[in-house]
Amino acid sequence: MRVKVRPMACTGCALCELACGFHWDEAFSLISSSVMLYRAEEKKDYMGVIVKTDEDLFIGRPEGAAAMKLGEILKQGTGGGASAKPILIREACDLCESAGMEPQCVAICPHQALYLE
Amino acid sequence: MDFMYYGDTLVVDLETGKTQTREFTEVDEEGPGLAAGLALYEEFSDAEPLVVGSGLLTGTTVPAACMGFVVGRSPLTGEPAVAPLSLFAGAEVKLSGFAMVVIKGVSPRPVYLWLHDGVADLLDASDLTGLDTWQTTDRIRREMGEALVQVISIGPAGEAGSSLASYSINYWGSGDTAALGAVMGAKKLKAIAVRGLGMLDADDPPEFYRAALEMISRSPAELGLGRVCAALEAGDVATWLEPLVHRYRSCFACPSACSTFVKYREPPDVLGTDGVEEPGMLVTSPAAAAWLRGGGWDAEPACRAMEAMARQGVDMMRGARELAGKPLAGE
Repeated sequence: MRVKVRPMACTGCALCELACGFHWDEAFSLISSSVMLYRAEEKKDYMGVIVKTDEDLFIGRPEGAAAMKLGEILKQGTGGGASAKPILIREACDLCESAGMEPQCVAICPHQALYLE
Repeated sequence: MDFMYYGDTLVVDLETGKTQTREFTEVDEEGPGLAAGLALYEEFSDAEPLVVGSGLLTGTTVPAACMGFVVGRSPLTGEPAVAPLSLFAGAEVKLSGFAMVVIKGVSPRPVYLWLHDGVADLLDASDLTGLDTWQTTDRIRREMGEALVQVISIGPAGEAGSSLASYSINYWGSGDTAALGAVMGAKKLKAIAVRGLGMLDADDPPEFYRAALEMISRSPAELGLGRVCAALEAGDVATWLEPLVHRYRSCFACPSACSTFVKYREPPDVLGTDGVEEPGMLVTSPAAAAWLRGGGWDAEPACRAMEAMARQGVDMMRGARELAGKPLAGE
């Protein structure tokens, strides 16, 4: 079971990032989350969602969604900006088990862009 | 404040180039959010300030809690006016490390204000003078090496003090209908660049979060301008735009994605990044779209006109009224 992404259903509201960050810190922030909204190419409206696990990143790009091993990602980079906390050094998704909740990114998404499978 | 705000009140003196901070609690008695912004405006009114801030709930999971604001004296009325900071700008202001920002006086040279991590820098903007808002955003993001910096900037209209001037948010229209973009121009303040990487605490976080989640479950999750334009009795703008629609975009934490990205320099269904650099624009103003449609414009030239207004830093709503032959009385 893992969190997957329907990238074209995403509208870029970042509620998933906030909910995940809240799960880790009990506060609201955009730098603690295991989920990261990719929004660095704004003029092209190119937007996606990345979910970090212990073993890989599930990357939901507009062209499609797939998991990539962390080793492959290290070679490519993930964007996110120089001052952002890179997703590779954030906590891995634990499906919110440590908080005894259902995965909050899935629960909070208004457009069902994230789902469990 | 212990909860819901992160950082102090920042006071920027453009005349001297100096900044200072004070505890945000000093305006608590007036209330948070816009009430605090208006109180600060009154306190510094002799220096014709612009006050930048955000709402009490902005930056949290409360649905649609995305808004920041700019308060200043509108050149159109001579009275204090409020303009919105939507998209991600309000939330990034909230998380920037400053609860409120007062910008007073007039700078002797073009500058822009860079806010991040509780640090404020006034930087030289001489080489940004004359650039449009797209060029300005690109230039500042490149200088910062950070594509997610939110850039509240003016274009040539604001620099010239036009009554139609408006600040843009990154590349897009902002909803500044009070010509506060012209106030920025008069201050020689080309832009406010902000990055919000802070953290907000709530009192009783689990209960706050639970209540917000419940509100989200009951919130409409609309796509596009249709419902907004219907409420404005502005006709079927959504169908008019449909052939150009690429995707729908939300403001920060908003379940409804009423901004619409349209493409007209490449097919709207192109998904990758290999195409043209500037394929289209984000339609953020239902009113502007409705005025242009009502004025008999086809969707593509209308969107190109809205892009031009965003680039020049022109108030899209009033500009669209002009283009539709329906200017506001007295303009």
